[in-house]
Amino acid sequence: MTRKLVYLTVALALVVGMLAACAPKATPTPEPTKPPAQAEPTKTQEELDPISQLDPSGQEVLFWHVSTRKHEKALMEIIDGFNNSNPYGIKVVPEYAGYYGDIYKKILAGIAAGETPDLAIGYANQVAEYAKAGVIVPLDPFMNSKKYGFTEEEKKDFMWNLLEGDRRPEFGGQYLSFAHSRSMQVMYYNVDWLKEMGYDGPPKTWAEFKEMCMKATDPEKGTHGYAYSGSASLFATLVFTFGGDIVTKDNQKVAFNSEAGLKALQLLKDLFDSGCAYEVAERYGDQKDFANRRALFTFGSTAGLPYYRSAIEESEAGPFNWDVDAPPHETPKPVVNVYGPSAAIFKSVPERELAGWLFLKYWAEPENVAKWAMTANYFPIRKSAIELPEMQEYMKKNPQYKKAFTLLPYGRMEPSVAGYQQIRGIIADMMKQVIEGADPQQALEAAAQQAQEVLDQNK
Amino acid sequence: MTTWTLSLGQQRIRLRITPMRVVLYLVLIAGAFVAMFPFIWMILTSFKSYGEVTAGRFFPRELRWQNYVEAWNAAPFGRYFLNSLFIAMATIAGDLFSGILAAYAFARMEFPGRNVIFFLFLATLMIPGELTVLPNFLTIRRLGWYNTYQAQIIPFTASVFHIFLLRQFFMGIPREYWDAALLDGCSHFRYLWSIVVPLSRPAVVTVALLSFIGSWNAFLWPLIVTSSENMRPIQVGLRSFVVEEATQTQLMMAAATMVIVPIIIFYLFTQKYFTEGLTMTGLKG
Repeated sequence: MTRKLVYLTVALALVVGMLAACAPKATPTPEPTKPPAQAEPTKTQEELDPISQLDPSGQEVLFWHVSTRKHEKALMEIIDGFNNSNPYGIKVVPEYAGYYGDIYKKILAGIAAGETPDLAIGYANQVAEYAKAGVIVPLDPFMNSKKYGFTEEEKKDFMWNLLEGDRRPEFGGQYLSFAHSRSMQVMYYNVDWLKEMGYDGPPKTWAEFKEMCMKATDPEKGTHGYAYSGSASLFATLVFTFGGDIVTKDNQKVAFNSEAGLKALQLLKDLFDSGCAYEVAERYGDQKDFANRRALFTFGSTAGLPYYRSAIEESEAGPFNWDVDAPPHETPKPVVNVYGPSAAIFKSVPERELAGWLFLKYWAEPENVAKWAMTANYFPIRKSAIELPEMQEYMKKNPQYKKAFTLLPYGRMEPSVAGYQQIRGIIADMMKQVIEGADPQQALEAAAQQAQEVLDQNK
Repeated sequence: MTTWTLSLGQQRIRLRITPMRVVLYLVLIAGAFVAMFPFIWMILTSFKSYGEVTAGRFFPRELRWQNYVEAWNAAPFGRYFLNSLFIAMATIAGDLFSGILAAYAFARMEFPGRNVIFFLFLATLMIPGELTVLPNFLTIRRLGWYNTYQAQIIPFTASVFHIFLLRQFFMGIPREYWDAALLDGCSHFRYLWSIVVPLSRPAVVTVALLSFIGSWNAFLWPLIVTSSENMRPIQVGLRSFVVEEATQTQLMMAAATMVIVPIIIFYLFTQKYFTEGLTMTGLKG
């Protein structure tokens, strides 16, 4: 008996020791290192900027991406174009690293092992987390480099409001990533159905939206005004349309616990209480119900346009006229939530970092952003890309895309602060609680408090 | 009460139909349908168009065989398939080898600290798999195994759960067998491979099957430890149908059907042992 007890005690001690030894190793977060130095005043260095003195000849750039099938094909064409045409003999080597969630995990493992790619695709908030581990190179010195950067004319051609999420207040306002295209969340609506109800256009205010939703709702026919699919992006859209924001401009404080945030939640609650909105059970179920004429409105990404189109063309309800527009808004001007992935350069040697930048710059040429945008049904981030004949042709064939394009100037970006992925979860839970009957004010305050804790932890 | 006689070649089967049996079979048929429904849905969906999937049609209007062609061409499935097969087979071999030896030692051999070590083994079951990804990755990196087959095989060639399963089964084999074998001058090693393993076929096959399923379905680990297409397994290929704002469900299902066929074939051959392995607790002495 005593022997057994001794064994048991030894075993327990060993287990505890083992777990304790495992614990620090097992944490997947990389060791916190200091963020890169504050932005250097690059303007004053125009004469002698260090980047312009580098020679990127012969560098090989390892590029982790998330593209498959037609996206991958387009990306390979751009990469081949660069590899064959750049005068420095730089070679970009692409590697598929899974979808957004997968590549994120792969990079976190790589950071821990001390081996990261030279270039990778990611959402700006993921890049913010990599940057906290000290592995990301700010892009401003490259952009402003006399020899390798953008010319003043090129700079004027970019729609910088679409790149706002790549600029990091907590890293001295520098760009940590760069995007070549963006999509946005728009309102999809059934034109024919609205006409049948006696309306000649989409709703401009939320009151009109609700009125139309109520008219379209018919329990007997099983139709509703709004097929709701909740997400933090939708909440951001709603808050923007009431004139609010998700976090403060400096990314330090939660800002959605404002009047705008409350109005957004009250609107949701109201739509659900009055029975004209319902939550879809499956992913992209709103697309399905819209195509089958069971819902008058949905909100979704413009990247989904071709899928809406094919779903509508083949639906049982038969094809009908449909369009997209900015969400209803209480702000003087419309506002749309713009999002999309970016590309970031990882620290290596200055020459290879520059080689990575030169590829990003090549990718940003009008022909390439246009090609990339048309493949992903995204929008190019530079104005001149729109004037290209192939882009004009594409817009002619895709009227909803053209319509959405006119909304780009109203684009605003969701926050891209480190920890935002977690905050998105908190916001989604809050929305769920409210449509299930919770008090908007209480839910909002509780969520804001949790979100603030996440922001503080990620400082 | 009716009695039917069916003639199947030389064999004659007499079926007695009683109300009880009718009810039993109806319940079984309903159960089988429920269990098979996902597979039926998968196969039907693999023939639909994207629009038919979103429209929620149960039956496709026409059989779109081109989905299979498109799915097959979407990724180098031939290569992925062979990779998965090789990795799975090697994993099973390693897992069985280490599992059988360890289980036998824990079940039949006397050595100091046996129970303590076994307890420690079991304790590792408490560590979630996610937590081991990073240490394993660092180990693989340091060994220089990044982007190799062994990175996808070696970490899975020992499973505590499988050792536990086999040990319990081995313990059910009457001790008298060992005493008799010992009298005939049999060594532990000989006894293990000539008596214990053949008697434990259901358990061994169960472990092999579990190991196979785990290996065949692995996604994140292979993705993390590989960089080139010619090292990657089939699940990575399936991922290519997830595109932004829509999943190409019909193509994914076509590929899934192709991927699942080998598992079903494997299962058909081993079904008997599999069910035995799960229902038998040990030999009756």
